[in-house]
Amino acid sequence: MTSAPEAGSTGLTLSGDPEPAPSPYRWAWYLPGLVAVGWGFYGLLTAPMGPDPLQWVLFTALGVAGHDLVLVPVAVGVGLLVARILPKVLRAPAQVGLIGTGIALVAGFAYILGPGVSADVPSALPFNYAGRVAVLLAVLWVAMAGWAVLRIVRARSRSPSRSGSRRAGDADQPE
Amino acid sequence: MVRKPAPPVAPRPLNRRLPEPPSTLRRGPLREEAWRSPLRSERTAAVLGIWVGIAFAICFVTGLISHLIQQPPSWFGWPSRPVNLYRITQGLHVISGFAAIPLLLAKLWTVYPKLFEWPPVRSILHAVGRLSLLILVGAALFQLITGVLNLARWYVVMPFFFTTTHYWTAWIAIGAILVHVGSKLAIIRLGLSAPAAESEEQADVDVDSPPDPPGGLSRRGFLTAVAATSGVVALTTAGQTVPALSAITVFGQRDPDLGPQGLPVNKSAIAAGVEETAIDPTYRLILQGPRSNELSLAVLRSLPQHTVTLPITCVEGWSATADWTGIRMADLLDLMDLPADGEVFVESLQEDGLYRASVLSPPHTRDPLTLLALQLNGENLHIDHGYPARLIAPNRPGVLQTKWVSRMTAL
Repeated sequence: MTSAPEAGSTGLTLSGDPEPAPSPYRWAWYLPGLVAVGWGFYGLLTAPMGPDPLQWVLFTALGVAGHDLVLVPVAVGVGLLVARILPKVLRAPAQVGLIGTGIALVAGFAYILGPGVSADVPSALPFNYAGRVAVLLAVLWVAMAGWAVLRIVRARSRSPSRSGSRRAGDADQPE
Repeated sequence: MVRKPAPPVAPRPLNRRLPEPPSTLRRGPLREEAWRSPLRSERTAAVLGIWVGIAFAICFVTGLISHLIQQPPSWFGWPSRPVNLYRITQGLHVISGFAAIPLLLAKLWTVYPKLFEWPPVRSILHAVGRLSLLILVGAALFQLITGVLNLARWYVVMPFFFTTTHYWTAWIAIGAILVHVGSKLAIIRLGLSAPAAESEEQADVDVDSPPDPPGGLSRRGFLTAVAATSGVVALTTAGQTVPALSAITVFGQRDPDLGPQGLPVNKSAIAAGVEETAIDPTYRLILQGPRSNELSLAVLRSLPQHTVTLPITCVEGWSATADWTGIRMADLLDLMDLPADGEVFVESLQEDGLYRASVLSPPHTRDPLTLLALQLNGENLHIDHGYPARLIAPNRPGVLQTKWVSRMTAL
C-alpha cells in the first residue's frame, strides 16, 4: 500500500493506491447532475403535494442508517462467520446462497409482512408471498447444495496423492 | 540551460489539508487493515456502478414518461399507438427498480470501507464530497425503499404522498449519480482497464495477496452472483406484466388473471364511495359541450357498440389484457359536436380523490380503440371495474382510465 500523499484532495482507492487525478471531463457530468439535483430539491420543496421537508430528511436518514448501521454490518458479520466456520470448499456456494437469501428477504419483506393486504381489493397482493419466497429460497439452496457437492467431488479428484500437493478448496483442509 | 523547478503551488483554501485526528482514534472499522475482503476492488465497484447506473437510468426515464403522461406539459404529446407501449415502459420501471435492489446493495457493500476512510475529513472539499455521497446514497435508497413499499401497498409508513415524493427524489438520485460518475471518472477508467477478475481457482490458491481467508467467491464469481440474483429478481417480478411469467411471480403485486371478471382491480367501488350511486337506476351520463345531452344507460346501450382488445396498465407496473365493449369515444364527441382536436374532461361518480377525473386529449379522443366501455369480457362491467361506464383508451395509464363515468365536459 502506498502512503497517502500530502495534497488534501487526494485519497486512496479501495486497493489502497493513491486516487488518480480527476478527469478533465468531469464537469460534463457535474453540470447536468447538479442541475438535476437542484431541480429535484426545488420540486420537493415547492410541489403542491410535496412532502414535509423534515419528514423527507428523516425518512431518508433512516434508510441510510438502516443500511449502514444494520444491513451491511449484518452482511459483513455473516460473511466473516462463513469465512471462519465453513470449510473452503463450501464457502462459495454458501456465499451465493446467502446473497440470494438476503436479497429475497429485502425485496420481499413488505410483501411477506402483508400490511397492504385489504379485503376491499382482494386482487391486490393475492399471493402467499412467504410461501413463494420460501420456494425460491428452497430452489436456491438445493442448487447451492448441488454446487457444493460438485466442488467436493472436484476437490477430492485433486487429492494430494494425485496432484502431489494440497490445493486450496479441499474440503478437509484446515484453516 | 537548466530550468529551475516551478515553485510549489499552495493548495487552494478549500483543498488545504486539515489537521488529522489523533491516531489513537483509529480503531475498529477505521483501522488500516479492517476491511480485507478481496472481492472489493476498483473493478468490482466500477462494474457494479455501471449496472446500477443502467438500472436507475431505465427507472428514471420510464418514470419520467409516466409522470409526463399524467401531468403533461404543453410541449409533451403521448401517442395512442402502439397500444402496449405504456405497458412496456411501466412494466420496465418496476422490473428494473426491483432488479436494482441487489445491484445497489452490492455496490454499496463494495465501497462500504470508504465510509471509514482515514482521516475522515482531509479538506473542506473532501467534506463536501462526502456529504454529496450522503445525498446520493440517501436518494438511491429512498427510491428503492419507497418503490417496494408502494408495490406492497404499505402506505402508512410513508409520511408523504408517494407519487410526488418518489418523482422529485428521482431527479435528486439521477443527478447525484451523474455527479458521482463525474467525480469518479478517472477511477472508473482505472477499474475498467484493470485485468479481469482472477478465476476462482486463482482466488483459492492465492493465499498471500487476498487478506481474507481464501476459498470463497472470486471477484468474477461475486459479480456473476449479483447479476444472477438481479436477473432472478427481475424474472420473479415480471410476472405481473408478462403473463407467461405469472406462475413464478414472487415480488409482483398482481396476478393478471385474478380479479372480478378475470381482471385485477386497483380501486374498489367501496374505496371510491360509489357502491350506491353506481347502481342507481336514475344514472345519466351528462355530456357538456357545444351540444349538451343526458344519456341513460339504456340509451348508451342502444348506441353502436364496438369491442376492442386492450390492456389495462397500472402505474404499479401490472397489466392485463381484456375485451372491452362500448361506445366509441369519437361517436360520443360527435354527439357533443366537439371538434376533431377537442379535449374532454371525464369525471367519475367518485366525489373525492386525485384520480376521480382525467383529461382525454388527441390522439386518444378520436382513436377508434378508445371507448366508453359498458362491458368487460362479454359481461356488464363489474362495479369494481367501473359499472355502469368507464373509459378505456389505448396506451394510457390505468389511473387515467376513469371509472364510474358520470360526466364528460368539452374543454
